[in-house]
Amino acid sequence: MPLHDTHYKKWEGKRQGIWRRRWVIVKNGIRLTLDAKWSRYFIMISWLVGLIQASILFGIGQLLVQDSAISNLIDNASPGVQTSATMLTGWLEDHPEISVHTTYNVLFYLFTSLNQMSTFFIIFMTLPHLISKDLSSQAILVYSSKALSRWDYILGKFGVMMGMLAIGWLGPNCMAWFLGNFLAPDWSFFWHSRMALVHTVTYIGCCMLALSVIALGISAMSSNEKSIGTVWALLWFVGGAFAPLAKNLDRPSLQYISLSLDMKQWCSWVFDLEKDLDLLKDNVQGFGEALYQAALRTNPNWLESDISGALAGACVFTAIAAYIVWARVKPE
Amino acid sequence: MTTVRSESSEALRTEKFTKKYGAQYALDSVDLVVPRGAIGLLGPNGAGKSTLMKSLLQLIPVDHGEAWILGENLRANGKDTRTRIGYMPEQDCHIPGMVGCEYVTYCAQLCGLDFQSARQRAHEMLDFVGMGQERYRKIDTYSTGMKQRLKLAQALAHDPELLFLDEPTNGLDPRGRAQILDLIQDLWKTHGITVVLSSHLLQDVDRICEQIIIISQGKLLVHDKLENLKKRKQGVAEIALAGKFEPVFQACADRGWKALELPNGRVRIEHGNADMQSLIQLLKEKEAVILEIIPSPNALEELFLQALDMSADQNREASLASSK
Repeated sequence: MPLHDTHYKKWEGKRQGIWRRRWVIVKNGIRLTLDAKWSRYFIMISWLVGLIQASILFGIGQLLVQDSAISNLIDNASPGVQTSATMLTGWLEDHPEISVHTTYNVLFYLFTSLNQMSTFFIIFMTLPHLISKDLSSQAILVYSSKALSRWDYILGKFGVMMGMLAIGWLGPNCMAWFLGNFLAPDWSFFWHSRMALVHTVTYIGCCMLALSVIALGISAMSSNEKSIGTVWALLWFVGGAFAPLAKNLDRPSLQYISLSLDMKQWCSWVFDLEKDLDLLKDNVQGFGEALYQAALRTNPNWLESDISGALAGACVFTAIAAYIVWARVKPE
Repeated sequence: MTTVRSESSEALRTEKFTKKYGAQYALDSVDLVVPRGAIGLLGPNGAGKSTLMKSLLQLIPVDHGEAWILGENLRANGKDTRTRIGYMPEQDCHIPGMVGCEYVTYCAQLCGLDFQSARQRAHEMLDFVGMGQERYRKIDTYSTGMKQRLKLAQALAHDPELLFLDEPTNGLDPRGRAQILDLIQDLWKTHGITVVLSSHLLQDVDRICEQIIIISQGKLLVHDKLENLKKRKQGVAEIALAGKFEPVFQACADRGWKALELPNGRVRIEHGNADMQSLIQLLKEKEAVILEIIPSPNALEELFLQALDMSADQNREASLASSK
């Protein structure tokens, strides 16, 4: 016999609003995704990359501090590195408003591009927890029988993907910006580097919106986890491989079938690096050239970025995904 | 958020409620006015019971007609009204990877309970449905019976005023079935929660429901109180007697009543009278020792079969007409 009263009890409380209920779906989806150890590993890798980025920013700031460990390290480095460091230090001292902005903007461009791969894995791990598993277990029936509409459910699941991308992509970049500036020798770094943060948030925020809708669409395609994983991998890698092929075939418009190329073009357009890289090349010999080459490697097309093509490509993907979600997410 | 509740005495009302799948009517212009209480929804497989429930919950859109639940129009206030409704679906619909307790908490939160209340409520409801430490295990490892109990707990987690139960005793052993039926009965009798029970097990419905709705092929065949329905089958009694049956059989035959010994040792007498007085008088005269008298036994089953026969006849006529 139970020790406590097991009879039915009435509940006399105040119900929470619809936004709280949507938030419950978001929280639960993120929790279930993070229950998988591989999801946690990928998130950890993203934050490690963010820490590396913050360390580089810290290192640049330390150039302005006399007798700092970085300065001592550079004193013992090769003449090329010493020249670059001296030029960068002078530039930071003379024109901090330009040099800090330029350096941060280029570095954040490089790191956000570098982090693009981790978004692939984060989405890969989150896909089953969006709609696919609910389709296979018929859990949609439970959601629909509660005080939630189809729209509330979709919005909640959209929030799950946005949340995961915020944790694994936007979060590390924002942390790197904040930590880099916090450890800088001068508080003015916060102000001078503000546009780098605006560019990062704009680029990642827009990508998060589009990628979340696309991820929902893929997740709604099938109740089979392996199938949706394969579709996502195909979209990312085959689309990526198709871009140079389309260019060589003299059909440049077809290259925007590549989601990763669309993102790179968007990134190049948002960060608007042309002027910054020229400034860097002119003012910091060696270091500027190295960053220029690195930027070229991340997106060989950045100098000829056709933003309208990339946006059109992303819009088509998003529209198709939205249609799939609307057509597939039904209680019956 | 505060929900203004209408204190309607009606649990359900439908007007010309129609749902078609292609040319097939799943619900054919169903008109219902159902007062609060324990309501049994009966019908053969594919009759439209689940479709009716799901349409009332707005899980599937209807083609025509209006419905009101607890006095609220579904088209206007469907989503808010669902905060006052619980639904236990027939099929499994748990969220993979969750443990039982988490799942019920989550369902309560989806209905607007804050986390603390939802967690407390989840434990109370899991206690109520008789789940012990299994609540801390992953749902994927549950037996069918446990999943049924869990589904009932999630349907009750937000303290609904109306509960839709779709085949709630499926997959339960006799003891579990009896327990669940007791709980469901308690919900209406003690706590005033209106229960709509869809089942193909007539004994279940007979045991706990006061009102019966029989539908077949999307059409409403019968809607009445069980008491009234049983009256339609008056004139039949099942009696358990001690001693010899022959004198009783002889007396029945003399009066032109049909008497039959059943395999369970009881006697079924078709006396044809509205009350039992004449039968009791006869048994007294024959000095029979009466252990138990059940008036109108199997009335529900007979009515159900009768309704199905009617429906089948209508079908036959319709198919004949179409072939001509």
